[in-house]
Amino acid sequence: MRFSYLFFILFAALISACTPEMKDGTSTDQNNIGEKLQDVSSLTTEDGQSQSQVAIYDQTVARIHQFDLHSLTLIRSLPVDNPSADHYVLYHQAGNYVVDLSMQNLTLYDYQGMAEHSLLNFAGKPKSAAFKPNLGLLVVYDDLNSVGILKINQFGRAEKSWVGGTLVTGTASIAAGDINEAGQLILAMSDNSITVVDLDQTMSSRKWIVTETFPTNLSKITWLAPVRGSTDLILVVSDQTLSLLSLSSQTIVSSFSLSSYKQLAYSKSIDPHIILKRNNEVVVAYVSGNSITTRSVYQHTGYVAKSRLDLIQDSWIMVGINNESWIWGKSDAEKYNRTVKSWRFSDLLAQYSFNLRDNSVLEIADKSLLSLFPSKLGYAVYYNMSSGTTQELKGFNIPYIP
Amino acid sequence: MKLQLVIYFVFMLFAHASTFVGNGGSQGDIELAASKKQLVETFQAIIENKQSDYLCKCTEDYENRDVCLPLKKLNSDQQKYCQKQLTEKAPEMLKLLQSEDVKIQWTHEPIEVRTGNELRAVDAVTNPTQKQITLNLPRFLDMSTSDRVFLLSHEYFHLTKIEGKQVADDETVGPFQESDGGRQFLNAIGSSISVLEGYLPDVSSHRAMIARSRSWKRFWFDGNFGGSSAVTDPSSSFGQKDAHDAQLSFHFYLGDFALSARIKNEYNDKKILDNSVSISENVMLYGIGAGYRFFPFKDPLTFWGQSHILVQAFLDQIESHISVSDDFVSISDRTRTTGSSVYGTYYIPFFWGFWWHATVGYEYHPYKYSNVNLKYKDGRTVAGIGVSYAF
Repeated sequence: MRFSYLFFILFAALISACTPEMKDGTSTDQNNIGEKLQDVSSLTTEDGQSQSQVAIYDQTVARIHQFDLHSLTLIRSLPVDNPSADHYVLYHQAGNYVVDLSMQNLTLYDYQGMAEHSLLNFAGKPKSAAFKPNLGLLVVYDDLNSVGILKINQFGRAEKSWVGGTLVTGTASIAAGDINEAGQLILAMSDNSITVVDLDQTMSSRKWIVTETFPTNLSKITWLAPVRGSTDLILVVSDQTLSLLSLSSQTIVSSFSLSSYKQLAYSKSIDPHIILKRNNEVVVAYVSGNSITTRSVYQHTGYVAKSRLDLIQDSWIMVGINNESWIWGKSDAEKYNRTVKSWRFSDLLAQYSFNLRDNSVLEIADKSLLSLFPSKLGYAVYYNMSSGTTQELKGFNIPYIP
Repeated sequence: MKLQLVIYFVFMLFAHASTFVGNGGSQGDIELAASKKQLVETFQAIIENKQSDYLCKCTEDYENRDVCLPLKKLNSDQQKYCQKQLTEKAPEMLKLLQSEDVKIQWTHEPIEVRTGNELRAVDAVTNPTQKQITLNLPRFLDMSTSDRVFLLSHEYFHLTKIEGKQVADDETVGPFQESDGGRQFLNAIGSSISVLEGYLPDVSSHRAMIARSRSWKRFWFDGNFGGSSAVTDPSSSFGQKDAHDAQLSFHFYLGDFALSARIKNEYNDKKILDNSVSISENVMLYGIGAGYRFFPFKDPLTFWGQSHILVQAFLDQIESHISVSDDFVSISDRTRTTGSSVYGTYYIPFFWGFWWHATVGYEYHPYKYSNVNLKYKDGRTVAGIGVSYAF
């Protein structure tokens, strides 16, 4: 008996020692406002158009580099405050401004490179952001659940801002959220209600201004995404259910049970969707019209690092991680053993598939992909799927290494 | 006109070299001086009655050597006569050896003397009247140390007088009654001195002087290893403030003027940014230049007297290559430039034509790599040690 106890303790210790850093890809996408922050800005605009420029934060020289992807030239390089901290980057090509987010700080670099520091003072480390540059709105969510709101004009200068706590309605905290195309902050709350916030008035009044709130009958909401092209519909992930909610009718218009699937990824990239898995069946669940629809491909995929669905362009791109086994102690496991695959979504005709080099941060667009490597000298690879070409950005840190 | 000036200049250099005779700066000087020292000290030993038992006798060490042949032929009377004359004439020989009245002249031409009706090839000839000894330089240089002592003893003894007259090769003398009795007698004298010289440790030590490398050689090859250091820090951490180098150079001497060419490789590797970035730089330098050497110590027969300092100026062409890499990317660049440098090199003699040397210098050839944002704007100090061979 004593031996059995000992064996059990040893077995439990072994199991806990072998606990993987990552069982599925959803944990860091849950309970966010907007999308998880990266040190590379998006290659597409909020409406899915390709951007010809990208901003990259490089910690070796503590600078944000802005590149033209057509000519692969460095346009400008911006020094950051607080170089020892992690930095995340947002970029708006039309206004040619860069947002630098770091611990307790937000800095805005306008089209001339003039910096405005400490525009939002929050206590924690930024983890996600909802960025609608066409509407001039940015909402930043930190790891201590503070919410920073910023109004940015077309020249990349801050007009007003405010930082609020997570208790928006006085009784419930924020579970997830995003900005819809009407410029409203849609929040799923801890009491499973949906709350709509007027961002402009909130900044002016310097307190949360809620325009409406309604219950949902859902439980444990962890993810929320406004549907592209609609100011009414939002896609919500709750406990074992994917639901499509109408803000106007305050009802669930469509739902899909997740109970028999492993949830691999939640994505707001262009058209919101989630990636599910059941055995070798990989399922993409998305919104078509007023209902949740699914499509399946049969692929061996252990984990999904990124997924991008563009229904207008009829394109689905998925970056899968081939290794399904536990990834021992790797906090950046999503950077290894990756394969990028693309389909024409209307009939799921595969367009291309290739393996990616390990250990890079990825940003994908409809016809292109940027892979940023942790090279001290500076190294990024730009894949142009239209032309089938690969271009390298090499040594962009060199001029700034003292 | 310019050509005439150049020809005149070169001619003057050669002329300068040919007049530099007798002080250790020319071919044969060291060998002659060492042999004379050996003779002087051997005769001093005879005067002081050291080793008198060995006069005109062959020792065990020399038993089977050619230098003993004249001694082995001696009969008892001849041996006694040889011993007597050596003892009696030692002071006179010492005086002659130390006298500046005796002129020694080098020649590259074959020397022949008439013996009866025949011409006989010899290595040296003495004119007693003019107190002049003429030596065939190539033959003299080819000889062993003991053969040189033998030859000089023979020739110098021609200048002494026995019974009122100088000894000639083709005349009889004492118990040497054959037609070339004089030659046999002088050969016995030479052999005895040569054997004694080898037997006396203090005297034979002068052989080291012969083996010591000589500065008058015209063709020099240098090889050295060293390092350099930039006077000012390079413009970025990719640059190498300090570098290692290896150099090969060649000098051709016209007197004390040298025409030089050199090829040098400067290299260094280092890692920066927590060892994540490797830098490797390789610089090839090709230079031509000219120099002048001077001797800080006067006596060319001594170790320090042979040592000298060569001061040079070079025009350099530099071809350099740098490679900067980390785990993901490798960036390289190459550049070419011209520059100049000055060097001071101190040479000290070793043996058999080899020399040690130490060098310091300053090189000025600023250059930059555009791809890696690196510029060397000032010069470098250099230092190194190496080995030379002169022939």
